[in-house]
Amino acid sequence: MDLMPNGEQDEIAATVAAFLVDRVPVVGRGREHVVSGPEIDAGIWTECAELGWLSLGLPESAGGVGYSLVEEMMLFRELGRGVVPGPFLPGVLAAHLAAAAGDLDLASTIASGAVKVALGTPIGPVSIGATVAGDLSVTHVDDAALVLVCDDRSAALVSIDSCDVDQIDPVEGSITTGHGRADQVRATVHVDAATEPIFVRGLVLAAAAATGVAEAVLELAVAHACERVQFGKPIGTYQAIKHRCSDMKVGADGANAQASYAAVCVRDGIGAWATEAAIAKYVADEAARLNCEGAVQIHGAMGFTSEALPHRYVYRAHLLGRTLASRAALLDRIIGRDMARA
Amino acid sequence: MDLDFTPDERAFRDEVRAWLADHVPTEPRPHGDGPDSREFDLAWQRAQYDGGWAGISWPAEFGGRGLSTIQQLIWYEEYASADAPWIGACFVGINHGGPTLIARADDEQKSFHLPRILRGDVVWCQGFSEPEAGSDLANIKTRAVVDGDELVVTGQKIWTSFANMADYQELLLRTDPESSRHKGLTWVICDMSAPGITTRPISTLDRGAEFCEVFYDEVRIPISNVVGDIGDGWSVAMSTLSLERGTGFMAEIIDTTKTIDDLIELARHRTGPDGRRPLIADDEYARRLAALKAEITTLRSMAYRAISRNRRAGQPGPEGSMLRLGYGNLLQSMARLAMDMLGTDALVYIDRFRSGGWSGMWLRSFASGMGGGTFEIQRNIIGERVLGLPRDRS
Repeated sequence: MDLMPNGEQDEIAATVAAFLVDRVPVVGRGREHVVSGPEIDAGIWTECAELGWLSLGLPESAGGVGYSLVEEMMLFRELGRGVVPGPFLPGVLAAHLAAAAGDLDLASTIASGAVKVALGTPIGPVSIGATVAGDLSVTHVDDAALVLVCDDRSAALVSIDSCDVDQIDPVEGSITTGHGRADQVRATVHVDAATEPIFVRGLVLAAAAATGVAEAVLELAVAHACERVQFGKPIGTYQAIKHRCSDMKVGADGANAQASYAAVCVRDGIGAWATEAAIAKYVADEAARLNCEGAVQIHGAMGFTSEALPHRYVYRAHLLGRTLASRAALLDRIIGRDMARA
Repeated sequence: MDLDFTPDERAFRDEVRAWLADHVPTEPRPHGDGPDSREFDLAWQRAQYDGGWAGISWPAEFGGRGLSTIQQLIWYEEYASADAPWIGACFVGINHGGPTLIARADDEQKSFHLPRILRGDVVWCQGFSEPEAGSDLANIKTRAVVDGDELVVTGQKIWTSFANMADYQELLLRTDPESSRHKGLTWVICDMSAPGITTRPISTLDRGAEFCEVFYDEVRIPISNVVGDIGDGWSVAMSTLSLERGTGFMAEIIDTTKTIDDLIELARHRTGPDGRRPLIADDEYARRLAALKAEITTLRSMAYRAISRNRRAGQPGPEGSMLRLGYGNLLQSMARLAMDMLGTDALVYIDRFRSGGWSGMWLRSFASGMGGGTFEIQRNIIGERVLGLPRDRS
């Protein structure tokens, strides 16, 4: 038993972090709340795909790097820390889906970054199988050819053109978002959860991204608390600030520990792995939200501006908390009380 | 990253489970903290000693079992799963005084005291806190004057659990009257039967009676009872961490996981606020229970990570404060939820060791914000030693 990353896993995370700091640094948006133009620079997207970020956990037999959900989890934690745009979550999940459905060509095309996939989170009841029907909240719409739709029973890819997506003005302005409706759309590929638990994988990876948000925004708060002097001392000296930072640290560490535990459980089929993943998503979303609130408050008026960085994390935490499953739906899964099916 | 146990570790788990199944006492720990509970706690310690399970983290050369970190984890997981008793009055001897002796005592002190602690012959208590030295522990004022080959001790300790039934005390004293803060302190083994010692029980809001004040009126303690050097007491007091790997915490987490499962079971059978459906059908209660389950599961993951990290580092870091803070908060919110679920049935006092002892558990939960360092001190430790925020104290 060892729940700390091994040397190789640490190295993957460090390599990803170094690339992101260099190539996709986190910047304040100033007045530019909403991205204009492509969601992610085409060159950077291709480079990330070439680095294997979309195929990290895919078996080598399916053209992947051959690592597992654990390494993917560590990648997504870094993507969350860097509030990186781009359809990484649906891309990774869709490559797994295509591979599990036996369409290796599609899996490798998606993993190469050549075909982008959007993510459709069900709004109300959505039927997912050979045909897909229902309302969807669609993220990473920009330049996507397919939409990944999944729940705890199955997952499917459908053509985005068949989903009638209307783009909205999103709160998280770096991620292109819309509403879609699949009206008995025929799936390109689909797979049931017993064959490949795409939804549960997604919960772990979204949890990892929210963990990264919770950690990075805490670091901003701590740096500001060490720097900002009022009443003659750095404000982090005062317990009102210090203790809030400590609570934020407990939340972030808990999120990271649970994301790690859940990733190992899902990878190795240990215990109640689906529940572990739901718990990981719930605690990470909570930590991300609470830490964003704390970081804005600790930054004072500066925290309310779009020139300081906390707002970027506020937006991302808001989106992640509405990705794949809501807080209430996660809690109902955790207690074994599925309202949708009752 | 993995959660795998080796074949040897799995065989060890089977061995532990089988032994516990045969030896865990079936009767509950006696109510109150009188002679009965002392005898109960010591008898269970003796049973573990006879079975070869005493001092699982103590090195074998001092009579302990010398288990590896992972074996300790397995022991505590199985211990809690088997509903083995709370360590009670044996806590300080096994987990604090004993490890300090192992780290710093001389051969004579070790060979006299360690076997007695392991065999369940004696109860130890801790004499650190004072009326003016709580969170600010370095403000210790109880003084000791050297007189020939003895220390003469005058002063007062407080919040001393089990002082009224203890044989020995780990006592932290100020031996240099000119000193202040962490300097000039001395760690000494105090025989609780020495003339001049008076203990007074302090009753607590959960009707416990283990808390005491201890008064010292020119109590004479042989200098040969000093552990480490005179004036080096602070570092001796901190050396207890040398055997600590954070594994004992798993037992508490598993106990609490079972308590939360009991609470969920209660919610399936108790009528909810609408007077018709069970509590679990109510959104608010179901989700509060789910959140509790998520939090205890997350604490388990944090403990596994801490144990993994401590094993690599060879000792625990300040991160342990995060577990303490998270766990204390969880105990309080769990107890509050139980009180909400029970409505007027929560009006009856039931001792926390008895079945249905939710009100006793709730009253006890207030202590989780103080024991082993208040929430506020834990937050200072996290803020300063984990996050690197600036200090505001000497």
